[in-house]
Amino acid sequence: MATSKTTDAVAAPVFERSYDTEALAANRRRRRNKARAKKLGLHLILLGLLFVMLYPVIWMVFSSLRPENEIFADLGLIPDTWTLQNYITGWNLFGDKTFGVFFVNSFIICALAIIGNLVACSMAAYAFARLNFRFKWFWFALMLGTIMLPIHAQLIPQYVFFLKIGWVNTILPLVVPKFLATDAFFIFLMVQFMRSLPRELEEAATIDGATYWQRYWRIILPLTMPALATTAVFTFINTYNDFFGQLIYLTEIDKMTVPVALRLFLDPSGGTSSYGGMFAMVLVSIGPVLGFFLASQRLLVRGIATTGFK
Amino acid sequence: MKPGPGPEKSAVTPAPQGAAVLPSGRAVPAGRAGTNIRRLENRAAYMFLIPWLAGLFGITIIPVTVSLYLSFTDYNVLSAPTWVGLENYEKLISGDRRYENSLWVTLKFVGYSVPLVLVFSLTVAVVLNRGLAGLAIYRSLFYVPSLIGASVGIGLLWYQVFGERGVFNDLLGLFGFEGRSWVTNPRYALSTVIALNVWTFGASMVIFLAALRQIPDSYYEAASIDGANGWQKFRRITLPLLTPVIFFNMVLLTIQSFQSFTQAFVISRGTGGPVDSTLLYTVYLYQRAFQHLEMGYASAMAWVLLIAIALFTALIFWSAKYWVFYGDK
Amino acid sequence: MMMRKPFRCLTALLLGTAFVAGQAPAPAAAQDDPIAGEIRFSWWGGQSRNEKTDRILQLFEEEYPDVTVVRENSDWMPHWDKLTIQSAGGNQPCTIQMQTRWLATYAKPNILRPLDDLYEAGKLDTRGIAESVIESSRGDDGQLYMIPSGVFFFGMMYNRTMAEEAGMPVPETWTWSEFRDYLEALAPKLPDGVNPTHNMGREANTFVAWIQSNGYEVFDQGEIGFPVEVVVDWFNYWEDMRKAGLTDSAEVMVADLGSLIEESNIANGRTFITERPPNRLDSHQVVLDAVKPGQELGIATYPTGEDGTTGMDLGANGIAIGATCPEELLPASVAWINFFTQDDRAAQIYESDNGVVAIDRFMEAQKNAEDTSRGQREQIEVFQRVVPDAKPVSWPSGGYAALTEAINRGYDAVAFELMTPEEAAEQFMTELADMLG
Repeated sequence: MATSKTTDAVAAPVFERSYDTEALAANRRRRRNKARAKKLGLHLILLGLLFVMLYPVIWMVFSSLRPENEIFADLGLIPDTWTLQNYITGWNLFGDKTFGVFFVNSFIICALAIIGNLVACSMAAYAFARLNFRFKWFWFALMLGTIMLPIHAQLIPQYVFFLKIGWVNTILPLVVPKFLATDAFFIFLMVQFMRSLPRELEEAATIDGATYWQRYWRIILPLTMPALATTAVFTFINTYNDFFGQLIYLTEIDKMTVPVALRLFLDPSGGTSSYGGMFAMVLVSIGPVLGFFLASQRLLVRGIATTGFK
Repeated sequence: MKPGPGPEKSAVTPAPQGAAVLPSGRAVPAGRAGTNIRRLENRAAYMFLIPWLAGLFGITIIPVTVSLYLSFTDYNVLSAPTWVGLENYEKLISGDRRYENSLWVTLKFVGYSVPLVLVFSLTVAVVLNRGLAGLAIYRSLFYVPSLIGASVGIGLLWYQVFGERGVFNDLLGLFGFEGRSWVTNPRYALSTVIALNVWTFGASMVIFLAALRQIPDSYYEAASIDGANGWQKFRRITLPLLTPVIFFNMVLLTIQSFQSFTQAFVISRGTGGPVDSTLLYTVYLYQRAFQHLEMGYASAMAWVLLIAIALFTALIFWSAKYWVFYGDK
Repeated sequence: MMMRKPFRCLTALLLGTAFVAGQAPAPAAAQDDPIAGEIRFSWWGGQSRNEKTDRILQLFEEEYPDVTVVRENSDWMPHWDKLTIQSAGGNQPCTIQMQTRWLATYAKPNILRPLDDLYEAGKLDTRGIAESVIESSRGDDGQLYMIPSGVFFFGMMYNRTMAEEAGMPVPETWTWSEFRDYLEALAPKLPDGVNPTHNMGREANTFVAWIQSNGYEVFDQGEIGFPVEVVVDWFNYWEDMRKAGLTDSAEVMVADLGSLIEESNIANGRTFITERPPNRLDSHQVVLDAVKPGQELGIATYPTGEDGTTGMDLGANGIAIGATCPEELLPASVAWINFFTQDDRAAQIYESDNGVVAIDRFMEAQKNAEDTSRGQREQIEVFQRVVPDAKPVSWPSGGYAALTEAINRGYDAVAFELMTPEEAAEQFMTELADMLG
């Protein structure tokens, strides 16, 4: 769409000065065919790339659909016998508790984490990106610094801290920090986006007497939609996949989340494993993430080009 | 440069204006209310920062300070820490062969991963942004590896690709090469970890795509009027306007690559092997902390890493003034 | 340390009921406090073990309606990571699955509760558990820290069908040189593409058998108990076989280590013999049945020293009580341990899933029961045969992990020809000593 528009735009000024309409039409046709062939080629390249990249995933999909004991038997990609058994056994991981329980647990945490990150990080980002204040350098450097310390060194002090205030075995240690913008990664992301917005936008609003809050809420936030959507998607994925935090803070089965539960299919201590069940549930668990991603596409796409500028 | 509403010829070649590296606020209009506004703005900024400051002091600072303290102690987690001064740091500088090795492995990993991910994700994002049909589907599919990249099955999958009986060998076989088990050979194991890291380029790609959408069409239209071709438009418009986001991705990828853990951990089954060939910094840190219960030593490692990352980040920030252009100047 | 010695005569104690003398005669669980409250139980394992444990817990909760048990399970490594973090904060569960190899790391009064008082008062029911096994569950300080529930050992698993087809049945015992000779003779008779043996040069369990069969201790008072020559000889033993083409390649060796059953070469009929925990015979056989129908796996014992000295290690899994478990939850915790180890139904459900059940009457019952699988029966038979000579290692704190790490790295460097056996052995000794601190 965008490309064809630009192609015409390139051609237009040339044609206006041309008199030979016959040659012109042929020329246009040739260009159009060329453009079409180019696009087809592009599609082919992308599809090829996708196939190579997704091969392991494709393998997993087929493996989840064949009998458990054939998974590693070198029998080729396509199964001879098709079965949904892996999905059934995987879903019923623990007798009375189905995988649905773990999904619900995961989703509650994810939803809260997303809200927290969106609100808290965008506020901090607005201050860093658009406002002038004392010690800005210092705080900004500190904010970046908090991204840099590896988690494994903080794990134990953090655990002890949350234990002391009685939050262990609740979802609070996984959720409350998001409302306090501890994921500095996302502040940084939004700062970068907000800074590239033109200053005139806000200046106009200031003349109209808008408060800082209104400027943040009415002008900057809507224009930062792609960054916000990106934040939401990443928060979802990070939270959804966070194994270690959920392992140590949510210990009992009732509160268990998807990534922790997925580990229970395998037994590296020498016991029996259920690959089929694990693959099936890994795929089922990608479902919601992919769905969430597809759903937020609209937001990701709605950039400046389509929102306020024109 | 001013991304104004109408097509503007100057937009095609944005002049390098020595954009500030740190976010600089808007210029305060001079005049009677100048200081007043400045005070107001200062207060407003701190109001916006309240949640973050609360998190910083309430949650982040505590474990970070404790870990700094622990780095000067001998602490096996299960009994109280004892003060040992600089001993942990001294041991790091001299006398830990595996540590030295992990530094090299990490530098190699970062040195290859960051540029590869940047180039790969930018290329795919630009191609996808050309208005191809099925953009949404492509984008989602390219993102799938990032979705499972962190899940438990990934180690197994990687053996299916780069193992002795993996697909990669089948592919080589087509060209008459003899395969091997790439994941478990000390000469190639790190490459497969890097491959896994590049495979999950989706996050950078999404950020690039979001940024590409923010470039007003009018710029390209203006460029077309000037007769610019595709490559020129990319060179003169897309690339300069993307520099803040390239910069952002570069900083983030550098930090993340230095801290990269899961991929090497899963592929080497927690060992960083064979023969320490995939012993990334954090994998070694984890081993020290949780397998040997040397939390003091591990904390010292964490702080050295922090300093190393800070130096590299500072270097990128410093370099930014030569190549990053912001819209707010 | 000295308390470990009695384990050495595990011998007859596990074999004949006559010898088995539990500390106390069938005690009723603690009578003073009510058996009530909510206790936590953490264990490691995969899906099948989780199901079994859950079923036993349900039975337990039916029997003691005032008790609820919070299930905290994870797989192997996270189990220990979690316990470490929880212990750092003083938030251990009341009941924790434990293993003798890791016990020394956690056997401290602020982590686990010493159980001597409960044991001596007869509140913990240890009927039928051999005294020697109980003794192996003590920490460095001599206090009892866990009640054993299953005894495990390592051995080798081999493809019986291939041996039979070659007309070379595997003997009940063999020395290290006989083992090599056997493989050399067998190699030409194996089907194409089958490795005579997995290269066990990097495997800690096999290496332990080597050290002890050479007359050394692995650890002595928490220090390394063997000289560097033992390591050099070990590396040379395997290098010699590797170069003779009797083992898998270095790459395959690394890939096969710690691989899950379904991917392993032995279960896929690609290797003749390798080291494996014998209690996994059935799960390997299931995979082999699918890949190479008709082939049968068997259990072999580790080679002995040239003078016939056995070197095999023996360990136990059990349940410990967290040091921070409140007094009023002790009766419930004790009741759960007693139920798990002593209840007939529990033993039947568990089917020696994590080591051969520590109590003799259950072992006999499992061996003779109609529905006991072949693998299960074979495991118990071999177990009874080899246990008399087994030599349980006194693992110091962090010792097992240290030995595994050091031997993996050491032999890998040799097999990939990055170091000579001598260099690697030196490095091995330094690293191991370092890690033992």
